[in-house]
Amino acid sequence: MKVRMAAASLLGSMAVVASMGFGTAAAQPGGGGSQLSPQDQTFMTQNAQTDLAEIAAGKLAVARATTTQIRQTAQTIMSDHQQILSQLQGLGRDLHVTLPNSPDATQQQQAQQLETSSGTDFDHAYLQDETKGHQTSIAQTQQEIKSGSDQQVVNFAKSYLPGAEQHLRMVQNLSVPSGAGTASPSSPASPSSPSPPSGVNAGSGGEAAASPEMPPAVVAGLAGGGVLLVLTSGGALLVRRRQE
Amino acid sequence: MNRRWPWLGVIVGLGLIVTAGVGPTIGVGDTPQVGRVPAVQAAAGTGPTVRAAPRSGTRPPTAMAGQAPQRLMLPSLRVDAPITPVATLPGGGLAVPANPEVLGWWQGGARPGTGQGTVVIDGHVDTAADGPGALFHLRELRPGDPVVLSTDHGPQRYLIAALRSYLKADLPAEVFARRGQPRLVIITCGGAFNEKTRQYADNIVAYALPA
Repeated sequence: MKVRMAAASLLGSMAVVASMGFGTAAAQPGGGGSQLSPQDQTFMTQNAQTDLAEIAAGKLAVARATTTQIRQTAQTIMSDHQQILSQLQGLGRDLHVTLPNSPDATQQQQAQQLETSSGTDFDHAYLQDETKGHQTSIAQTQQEIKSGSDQQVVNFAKSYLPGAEQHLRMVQNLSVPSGAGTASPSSPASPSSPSPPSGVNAGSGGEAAASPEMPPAVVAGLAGGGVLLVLTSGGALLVRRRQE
Repeated sequence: MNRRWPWLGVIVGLGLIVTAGVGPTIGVGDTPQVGRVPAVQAAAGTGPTVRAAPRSGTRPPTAMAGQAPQRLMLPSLRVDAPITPVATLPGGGLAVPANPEVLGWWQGGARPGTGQGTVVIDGHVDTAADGPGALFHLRELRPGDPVVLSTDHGPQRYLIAALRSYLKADLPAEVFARRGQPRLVIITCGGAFNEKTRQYADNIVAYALPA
């Protein structure tokens, strides 16, 4: 009797512990019964948080940045990370990994600071966050490529890396207009359709210039002179032949 | 000499007539208007077929829809130039990389490989400081000439469809269409040159369709 009770108690305890373990794993990002290595799970968590942070920051920048260039760049980066997040979520479903639904604490703090910024101060803060954020994301991705175990996660990292590097270059190529204050954007940008450019100034050397057209008077003069000369010369030839 | 002048006169006269007839059509910088400009909206039943996304479990390793182009190659012109993203300038014009050997990709436009919209590439025809640029001979392209955009996901191949010259102020907005038939446009300058402002009058646009 005592043995049966002890065994039942032990089994019950094991069941409770097991359920706690599974429950805990299912509640935390990167868990859910996944067989992924800690490196793979960490990368997927980090990438999801980065995507969410980029999307939130991008929405703010599209609305608040003071230059068309920054707004267009923000739109591009935001759209890309929406696409990336969608693919990452699909990968998470395939691998039974629960992904976070919010950025990490640092990213959330940066977002709060962006919310309170405006004008060129906002531009500075956004570009700074984007530069640091992408540098961090690139380092995390390189770590996954180097040390990851699951081939699908590593492949995802390999395909993500060039785009992240491209984003970093785009952000580094941007500059904030001089002058502080809360200057409002000169023209509101449509997040879905940036205004097309109005033209391209792509030359200052002059070497490819078209030659000027020949004036009509010159054309007429040449043609008339040519006809006259042919007739005169031809007539002289005929006269000479008859004389001969 | 007296016996020869009539023949010389005939020859010179014919030469003058030929010059008068051909002269107006010759221009060092003239851009022939050749080919048929591919419409933004493809005709029904034509155009590329958009492939359905693969099923789960066979997901392709493409983290981003389309990739930013890295290099442009125009084999018929022996052009192989790097590309950097550019944006719209405050005045509304499209920025162009200062180095005439580097081309710009309008990051507000379409990306190669997305299956829709116009990918826009620009570059200096020449600059006062550095002379001819990578697109100096753009106007010599003809329909059928190959174009290759290299990306991190491999090359995107096109064939030239048309060449056009527009006054800058009349550059059609649909050149920059973000939706519709996938196309590539390459833009530079040409036409008459203003020595005072050091600007060309026209934009030369080469249109290309996916090969």
